[in-house]
Amino acid sequence: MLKRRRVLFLLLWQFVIFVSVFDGYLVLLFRHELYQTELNPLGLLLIQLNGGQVWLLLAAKFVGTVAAATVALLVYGRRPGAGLTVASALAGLQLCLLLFLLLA
Amino acid sequence: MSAEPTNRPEVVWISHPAAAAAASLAVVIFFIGLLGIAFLPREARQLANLQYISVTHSLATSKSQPAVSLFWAIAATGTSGCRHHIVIHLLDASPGEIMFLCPRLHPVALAPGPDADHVLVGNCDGTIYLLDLRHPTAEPIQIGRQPDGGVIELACSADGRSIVSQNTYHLYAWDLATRSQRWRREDVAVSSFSLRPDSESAILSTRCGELIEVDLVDGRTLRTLARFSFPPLATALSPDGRLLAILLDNGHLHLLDSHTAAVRWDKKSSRICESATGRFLAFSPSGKLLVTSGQDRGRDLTLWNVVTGQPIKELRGHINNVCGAAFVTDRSLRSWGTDGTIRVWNLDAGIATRVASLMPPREGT
Repeated sequence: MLKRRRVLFLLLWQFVIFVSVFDGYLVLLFRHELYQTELNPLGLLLIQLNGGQVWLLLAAKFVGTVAAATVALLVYGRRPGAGLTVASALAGLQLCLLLFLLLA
Repeated sequence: MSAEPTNRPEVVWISHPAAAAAASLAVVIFFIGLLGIAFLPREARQLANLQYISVTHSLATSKSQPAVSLFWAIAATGTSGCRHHIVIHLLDASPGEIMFLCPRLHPVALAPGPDADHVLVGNCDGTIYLLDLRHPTAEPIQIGRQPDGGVIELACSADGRSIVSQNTYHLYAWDLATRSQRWRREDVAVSSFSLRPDSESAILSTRCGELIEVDLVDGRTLRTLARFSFPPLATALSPDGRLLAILLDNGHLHLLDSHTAAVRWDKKSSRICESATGRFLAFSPSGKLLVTSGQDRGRDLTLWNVVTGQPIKELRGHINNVCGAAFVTDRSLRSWGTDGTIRVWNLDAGIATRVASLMPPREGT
């Protein structure tokens, strides 16, 4: 049971990271037109601060992903039940993001 | 039966922040590498086929007609060098929908013609052509030829009877009806000129810093309007001809009464790009707005309130220098530049709503 929970956590945790990196990949792919298509106001602000470029947004995404993954891992390391809940919630949000990115 | 120890630590090492951060970093980098394998070949193909493209002029002679644009392209590989192209295209056209005109020409200047169906094209050998947009595949009509260098600026008078052209050293006037040269000025080093919409005269700015008005019929100087300590880089007359905007070499933007030369306002601004591509000014159709190049190394545009002289808005989106801009209406603007794109801006929202990317024809087509 413990092993199964650990595998589930790792799968969810990796899924969260993968979707975040995939989002960054799309930012890089569509960097020339992101100024007009970005919907996230924070993302748009970072693009504007970077003079229309996406590098600041990508850096923020990178740091944010590593920070979120670290926090999830720490929570799981100390309180596995809570860690699994956090990972599940994050994975749910990332699944919504992925579906939006692929279907919208 | 025993209760599940849900909160018992399972792996000790991930309780340490440094180890957890290192593990997260490693997985993030792993996925970046994985997606990089998918991303890099596409980018590498683009690099292998890299072309530097710069849109230097773009005209929309009427709202119902497609745009006419000039651009040049240099392939990163090969020895073909720089090629100039004149094209007709819709502003949201895909590369396949661009019509290339007059492939034998090397056009370097473009201006509106005497009516909405014609445009003027200045060639790098100094020849000036009239192009009929209703028959874009027909041979263009030759108006005249500057014997001493390519056309760098071109304009048609409001009554459609005169054309003024400029090369590096001289200014020429042509009669459109007879297709003959009217006059040539060799005594003034013109940096830019604007044709008055309300009379048969032109305002010239010289490299000595003078602003003079000349008669379009015989080329004689009518009067000296003003003298500046620095040479003007660009001038533009408002649609009614009453106001004259001048961009000076020291970064000052002046607004003058074009008849009395009285200064309406004078702005020293680091906002105005002083690079060669950023030397443009354009009034809106109502004359209430003015657009110039902006401060971000010439990649943005600044909108000015003509009455107050205050900057209203910055337009950001071009990824390289902007070469020019023109208002479509008071709420819409087109701009083009060295990133190879033409952008249509919604001025209320401050965003580009349409982007056209121009590409040269493939070899052998």
